[in-house]
Amino acid sequence: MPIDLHDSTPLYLQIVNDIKSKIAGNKLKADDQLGSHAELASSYGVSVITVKKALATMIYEGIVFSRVGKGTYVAKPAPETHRREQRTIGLVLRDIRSPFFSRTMHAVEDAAYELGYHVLISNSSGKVEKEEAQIARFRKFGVTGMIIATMTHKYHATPTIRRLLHEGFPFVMVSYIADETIPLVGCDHALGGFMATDYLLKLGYQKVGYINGEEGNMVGELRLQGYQRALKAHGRRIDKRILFRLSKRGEWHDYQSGYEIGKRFGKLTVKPDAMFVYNDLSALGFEHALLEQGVRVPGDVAIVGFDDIERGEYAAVPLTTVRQPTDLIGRQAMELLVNQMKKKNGSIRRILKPELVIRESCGGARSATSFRSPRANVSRGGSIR
Amino acid sequence: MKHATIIDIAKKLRISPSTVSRALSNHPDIKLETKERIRRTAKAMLYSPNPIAKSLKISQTTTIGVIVPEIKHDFFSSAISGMEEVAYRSGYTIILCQSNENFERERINVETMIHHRVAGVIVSITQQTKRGTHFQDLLKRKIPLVFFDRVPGGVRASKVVINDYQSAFDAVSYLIGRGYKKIAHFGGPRELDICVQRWNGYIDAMKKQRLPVLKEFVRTGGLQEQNGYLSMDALIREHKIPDAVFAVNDPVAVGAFQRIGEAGLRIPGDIAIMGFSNNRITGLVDPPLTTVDQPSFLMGSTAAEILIETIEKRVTAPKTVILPAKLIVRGST
Repeated sequence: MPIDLHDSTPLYLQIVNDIKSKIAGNKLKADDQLGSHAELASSYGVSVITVKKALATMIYEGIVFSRVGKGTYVAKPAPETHRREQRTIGLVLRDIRSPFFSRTMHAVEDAAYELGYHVLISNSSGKVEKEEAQIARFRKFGVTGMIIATMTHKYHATPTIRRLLHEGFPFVMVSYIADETIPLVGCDHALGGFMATDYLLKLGYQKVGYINGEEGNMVGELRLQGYQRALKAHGRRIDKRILFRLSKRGEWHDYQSGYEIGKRFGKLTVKPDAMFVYNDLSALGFEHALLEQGVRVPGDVAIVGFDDIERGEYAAVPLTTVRQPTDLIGRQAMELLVNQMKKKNGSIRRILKPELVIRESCGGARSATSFRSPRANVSRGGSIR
Repeated sequence: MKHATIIDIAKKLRISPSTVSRALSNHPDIKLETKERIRRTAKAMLYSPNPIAKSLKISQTTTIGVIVPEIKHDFFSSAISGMEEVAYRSGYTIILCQSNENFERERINVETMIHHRVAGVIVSITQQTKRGTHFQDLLKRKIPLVFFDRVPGGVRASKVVINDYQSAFDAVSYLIGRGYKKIAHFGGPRELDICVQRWNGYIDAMKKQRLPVLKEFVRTGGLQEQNGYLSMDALIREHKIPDAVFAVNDPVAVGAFQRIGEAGLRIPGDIAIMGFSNNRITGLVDPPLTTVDQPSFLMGSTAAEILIETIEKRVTAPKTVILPAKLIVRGST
């Protein structure tokens, strides 16, 4: 029985949550009888007083009802207006500041609220241990499902996530995970890499390079695959001399890593005339380093990034990028989660198409057509760098 | 000898762990002799609360709920970081809701927090929040509540704010000191007290220097970039060009910035711009934006400290903390 004596959640609440999740998971149905006080006390390993308190709480909330002399029974689900009370989903986020996750979460929330769910958000702040604690905490809270944007760029699921799967707890990942048994709604990174590279090749660039993510970054590898496929499709060979890698330092150091590669540009034996970069942050660092050395963008080197972060629009040379379909990802993740919670069958993996956002850095557009607002005549006067 | 746990003590004394736990936390229901017997045993068995478990407390009763309009927004994400630092240090964890500037959602978020029995709630209200009745639900249940930055009227709770009025007054006074006279203000929604305060600061600073406040130059709108863009656009179309703009916040300033650039005008040469908040974007635009720095991290950490104090000592008298905000002069003015 899942009563954890080392957890400081009051015992009666642990019992309440356990029974609630059994009801949510259909292990207990309306009109099922819970055991007698003595039986419950014995099976949970607690005192009768604790059992009574748990039952009193659930009666108060309308989850169970008692018949004098007969016992306690699971109540029928409350009418729609009260349903909201019991339907909360948890969002476990790697980093609240990440534009990908925050956009995706907005879309999840919109869909969730439309469907009558409450939404709670937790923030990993970059620590795996905290993520595991958050997932555990959400479960004890009694959330009925979770949407998870996990920590690692690697391709396997953490033991905590494996356990969720094993226990049949409804959840959906929105950050890439290679394991196909794990429910995921994500962006087609390989296709994104293909689209970026293909576009540069179509514009006529001859030596299109790629700056990959750090060692072990699976998403970077997928984008590399797309890059390679595009080269092949245009009959080009892969030139390892224009393949680079960000140093292994993690998201908030990407800009610096891109910058370091840009600094080496002058010394390269083979200079690319276009560069597809793993993400916008590192692309911005790369661009900055090039411009500092008097290398022109896109004149000497065209650049395409990935992610469509806000800063890309304001870069010295506004950044062409690949945008992840965050609205769709969020909405479909919620749909998939609902299917899971209702135990419906169906595909548990949905990979969606990204789109190119064309700005000046690729040399493809004469006038700046930023995604949001026209920005012609940027260079006059108070230029927006 | 290994440290004993509550379970060990319970086994030894042949009573339930909940009784031991209650005795050790001095629960009124437990008889004094029982408490003493348990404490003696605990001492003899070298019981001490597990500090690791304490810091990983994954319990509803040590969770703090936070409701903010938007978690990605620089100001709020920084405030949340401040809260997390204090919370984690004191053995609490944080659960968030974002109200997305929507009153109805904020109302639901409050319900969610109550339903999940959080230990206390920290809130910054939405642009749409006109009344604070949903917050009364928290107060009725004696759930500790602290507001920061955007605070509703008529709710008796602690607040952590900056002096928006004084900061705006000082900022506009600075502009006047630099020689600007036709100063426009792009204000925020009148429902938000912080916007009203900044507005008043602007008006009073102008009056003090006997500068006219021209109706066309004072505009109300939302708090997003596009609101600044549209306000500036209206002025440009009407050929009413101010020599400086004081925007209610940085996003609005940046919106105005864009429109000015599009018109081929120079900043600050033709029009100076000043924002408020010191978001990251202020450093990304060229020239960088003059603004008022809000100590967001400190606001968050202070709010969390007050909340935890209230939760633990059951202090009921609400307090108001006003933090200092500094003018940061950059190239746009």
